Amino acid sequence: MKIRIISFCIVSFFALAGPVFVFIPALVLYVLTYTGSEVLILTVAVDAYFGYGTTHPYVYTLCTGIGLILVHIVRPRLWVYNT
Amino acid sequence: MKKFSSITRVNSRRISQTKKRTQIALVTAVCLLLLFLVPKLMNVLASTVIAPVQMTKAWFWESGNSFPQYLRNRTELLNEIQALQKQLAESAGERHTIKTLSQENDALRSLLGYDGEERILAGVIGRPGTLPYDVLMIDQGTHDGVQEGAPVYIGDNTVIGVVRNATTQTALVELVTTPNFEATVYIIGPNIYTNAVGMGGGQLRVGVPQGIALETGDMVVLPSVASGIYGEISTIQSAPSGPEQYGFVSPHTPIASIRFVSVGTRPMQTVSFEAAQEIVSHTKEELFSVPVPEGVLVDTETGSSTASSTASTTSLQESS
Repeated sequence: MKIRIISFCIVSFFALAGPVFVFIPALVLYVLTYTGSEVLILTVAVDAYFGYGTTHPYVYTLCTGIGLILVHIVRPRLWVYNT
Repeated sequence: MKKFSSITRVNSRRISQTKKRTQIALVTAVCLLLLFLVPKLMNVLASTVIAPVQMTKAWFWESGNSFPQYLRNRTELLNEIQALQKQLAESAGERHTIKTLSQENDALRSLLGYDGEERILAGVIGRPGTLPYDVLMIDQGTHDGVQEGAPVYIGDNTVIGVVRNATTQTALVELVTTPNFEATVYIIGPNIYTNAVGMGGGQLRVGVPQGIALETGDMVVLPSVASGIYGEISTIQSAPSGPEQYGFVSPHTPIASIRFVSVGTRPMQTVSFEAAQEIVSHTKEELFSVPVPEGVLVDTETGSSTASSTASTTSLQESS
């Protein structure tokens, strides 16, 4: 649990300040590892702040939501999660 | 009973997973709805969290304040130091190359720069050690103007041998140190003429009676060649019981390390004693005189020295 909190803090830091090429891999890694829906809060914040008034708004929230559901579906079939 | 329990567990897990997926889908949908419906409000809410972080970031990277500037400059300075160190290493390598080329250039210039006569520059392609006799093989031949009997020099005026045989492309130089090669030499120091005999291996031996003050470092000149210094006496062999003493003469540059030589364009000719004396005196003059510029040289014959001496004499008279 402690590692999960630290990981979330790191992902949050990159979401708020870090470069996007670090934030996206960190987010994907976090979703694959924990499949926690708390990352949606982050993506909503990012979309609300940076995506406001742009032509492709809220893409992070949408992609993260779809990604989370996909990981949930695929997860029981992947042996790496069953070890 | 057991089977029923496992079925129930699997079913409950499946239900919980479906429930969780629905939950995620619902949360995503609600978030998107909020973002679409009240974008301004969401933006304001997000701004309260993100704006301070962004401000700090901007302050750190773009601010003109001393602290972030110091940190930024430090990174820049470290990068600059690294770049300069690299540049320094490169320039050191270049400097070494320039030094080597300059030394080579000086050596080549000294070979060709003698004013007395025109010479042909030649590279040494075979020397004692690789050739069976005490000879040098050079890469210039009759095609380049090398003639049999022409003197061969190293440096400005050190004679090391004579062209004994020349083909169109190459020439064979017989060194004056070839065993039993005899030459008349003049030794500066005791100022005597004597005979020198080649000993091989770049050594020439001069033999003089015991009474003559022979010293190591005495210059040995070959008067048969204009500007024909051979080298200096490096060792003296003297037995008190023997009637004579021997001096071994070697050139300044070891024969094994010679890469270039210059060859005279004309063969050596028989020199009379008067001509030999003239050559020796000319060589001595050249050896002991240094070209000093007129402004620097203080001599009794120059006007400036006369003026200064007159002034000093006057001051002496006044003081007395």
